[in-house]
Amino acid sequence: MSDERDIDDELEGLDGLDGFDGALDPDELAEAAALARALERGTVPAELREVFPEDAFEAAGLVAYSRDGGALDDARLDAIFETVLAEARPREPEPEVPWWRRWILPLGFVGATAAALALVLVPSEAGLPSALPTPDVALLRAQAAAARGDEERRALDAAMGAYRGEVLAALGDRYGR
Amino acid sequence: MRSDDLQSEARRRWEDERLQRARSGDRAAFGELYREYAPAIFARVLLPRLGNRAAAEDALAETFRTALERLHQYESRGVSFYFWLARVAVNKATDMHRVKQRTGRALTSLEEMLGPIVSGPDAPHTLLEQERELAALRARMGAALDALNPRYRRAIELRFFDERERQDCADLMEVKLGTFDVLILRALKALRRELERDAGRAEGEGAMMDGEE
Repeated sequence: MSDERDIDDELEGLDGLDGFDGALDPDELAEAAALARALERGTVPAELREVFPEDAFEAAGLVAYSRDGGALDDARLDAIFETVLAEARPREPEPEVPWWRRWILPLGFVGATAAALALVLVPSEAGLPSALPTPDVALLRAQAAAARGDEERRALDAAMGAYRGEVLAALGDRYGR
Repeated sequence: MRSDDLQSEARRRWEDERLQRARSGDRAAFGELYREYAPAIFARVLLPRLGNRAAAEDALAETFRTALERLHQYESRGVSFYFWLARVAVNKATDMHRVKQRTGRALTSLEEMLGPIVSGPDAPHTLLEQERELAALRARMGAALDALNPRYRRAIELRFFDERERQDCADLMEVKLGTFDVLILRALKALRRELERDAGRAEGEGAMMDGEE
């Protein structure tokens, strides 16, 4: 029989069923066609899926299983393995990595972290402001006298002016202005 | 150490050695693993879950293709490679059922009917056990076939045991091809009912024996 031939065509003029197997109905004809297709080609056409008799197909599977226990002969096994090898895309085996290369990344990471922490936590000499000139005794006395109110404000301003000049000169030296 | 422990230890060494070679690209080593486990994966995992030989063969190829591609992910953890393969195979069968509406594949599950007789993928499976299980299944099938109308039994025998073409079966039964298709449908449905009746009887007897104990 040609594979292309429609099974429905084969169900014309049924005989041999009357009086022995009982009368046919259209649903049973459709089920028989779906089962014949499934057993022969392993598929069920879309128009027959609704009526596909799974119970009969399961019984057919059990009969086949009881015949050979699901055995695969060597030729089939080999053919399937050929398919496996043809379709598989196995990962390339990884080259052997020397032991020190396994450690280089983690060690690098630890080193970088330690360096970053050191920058944050350890105060830097370079970051500190330069040492400012120490106020002289005359300025301290002028401040104390001004605080007591027994000295003129002008003397304090003069002492502060001199000190401010020293501070500005020191900062100028440090930052180049 | 008992003899079966020794045997399993030897098997584990055999398996580990081939896995190691297969991981480094040795296809022949993977082929040895395939030869060892593919028949059981097919017969105990895929065919019972799909009920369609062609679909089960496709799923077998898919299972081992996946295994070959993901071999680097496999860790033995003291159990056989077979169980990892069985898990991959179960997933493949489930996937096939999920898309069967789209693919139009005729699939079913034999698990429920085979369950009481044929142990699943997790059970040990020596050749002797397999033969014992198959003999029990054949005895049950034989009894169910004997209980059928002789015309139905003949239709099943011609089509499935003699593996004849449909037209050949129809000619031998002196009916038209369409008639034979209906006959085989009715025969298989009757066989299914008989197997279910037999399973019901076996369960009843088991329950009675439990009650007597």
